Amino acid sequence: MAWGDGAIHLGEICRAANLGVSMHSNSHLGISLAAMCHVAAAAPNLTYDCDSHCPWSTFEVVRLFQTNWAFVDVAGWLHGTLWQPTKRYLVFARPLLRPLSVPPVANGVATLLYAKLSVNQFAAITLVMSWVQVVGTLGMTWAQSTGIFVAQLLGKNTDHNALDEFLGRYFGFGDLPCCRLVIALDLRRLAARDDGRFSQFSPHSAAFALSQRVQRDLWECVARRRRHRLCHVYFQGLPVAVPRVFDDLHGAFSGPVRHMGFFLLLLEELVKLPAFHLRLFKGGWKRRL
Amino acid sequence: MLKLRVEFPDHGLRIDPMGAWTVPTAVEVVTKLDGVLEYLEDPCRGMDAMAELSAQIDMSLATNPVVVEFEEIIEEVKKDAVQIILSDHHYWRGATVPFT
Repeated sequence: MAWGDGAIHLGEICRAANLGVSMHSNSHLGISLAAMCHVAAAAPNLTYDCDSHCPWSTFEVVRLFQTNWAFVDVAGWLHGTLWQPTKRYLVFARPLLRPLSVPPVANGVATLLYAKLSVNQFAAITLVMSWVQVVGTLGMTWAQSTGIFVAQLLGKNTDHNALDEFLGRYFGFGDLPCCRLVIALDLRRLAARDDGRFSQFSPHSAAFALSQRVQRDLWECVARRRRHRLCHVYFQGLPVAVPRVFDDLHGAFSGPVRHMGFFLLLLEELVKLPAFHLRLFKGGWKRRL
Repeated sequence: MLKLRVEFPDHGLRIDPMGAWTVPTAVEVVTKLDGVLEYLEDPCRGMDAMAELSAQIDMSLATNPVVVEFEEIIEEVKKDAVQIILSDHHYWRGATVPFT
């Protein structure tokens, strides 16, 4: 069952039961809104327009241009620019949060550190978040700490060259060891025989799943992975838990209608991203405005 | 809602009280907003309250928290509690359910 299949089955059942169907959720930012579009495009029997309490778009978070192609640089937090979306996020995400754990608290602290920045400066330091999707949790921690450092440097009116040097060091030496460390840790977990993922296997199958040969294949999966979650693949006839690579993306983006939705979103990003990176490259955000 | 209807005569309007109303309150609102709302989402908490309300009014009722599993659709149809089920790409076998 791929992502969104439940919503599609629901449409079929409701058609049989003569019930109307719509789609309704709290708050969608980026990929979540895209996923909603994809599911809506594929769902049968959507008899009503879909709605959302709070549909976000990229421009709601990072506003790059005013009219006349002038950069917007509005003060954040205290003047409400950052606070409003944050407040909305907190209100709408609260029911989704499992018992309050440490990461949300850490994020809150980081947000307070970001508070002195303007929106564009905040957007600029999120550049370091690019590795989050690649190297997982450890990379996220690394990127967040770097973001906090950059925020502090900006708060101290650190000059252009010092920031360049800092970010150069980050990109040059930070990400690669981070990737290696994450992969090594993952393989160490896989090598641990008490790994619960194989508890349902017979001893023979578990031994096979943990063999050198399978682990070499897993290495390739780990190296290419985009997220931590696991999925089951059939490896020489045996179900084996591996980090999911593109399975759900494949499920979400199959079908011509969904392709079109994805293409439109991609087009939007392609239009916006060059301008964003051009601004980063010019480095104006590193100077006090 | 009446002012919104005047301002946007062609838009569908919906309310989501998140189950906060009693059945009599919901009946009162529905009476006042007859023909104004496209449908009313989760006015009351729970399937029985929704069924009780649904029996008294003509307006369509929708829900997302009352029917969250396929099995509950059967009970819902028997009680005629809602006429529209609101899907969700996360909850209906989305990120919250492991792949099988």
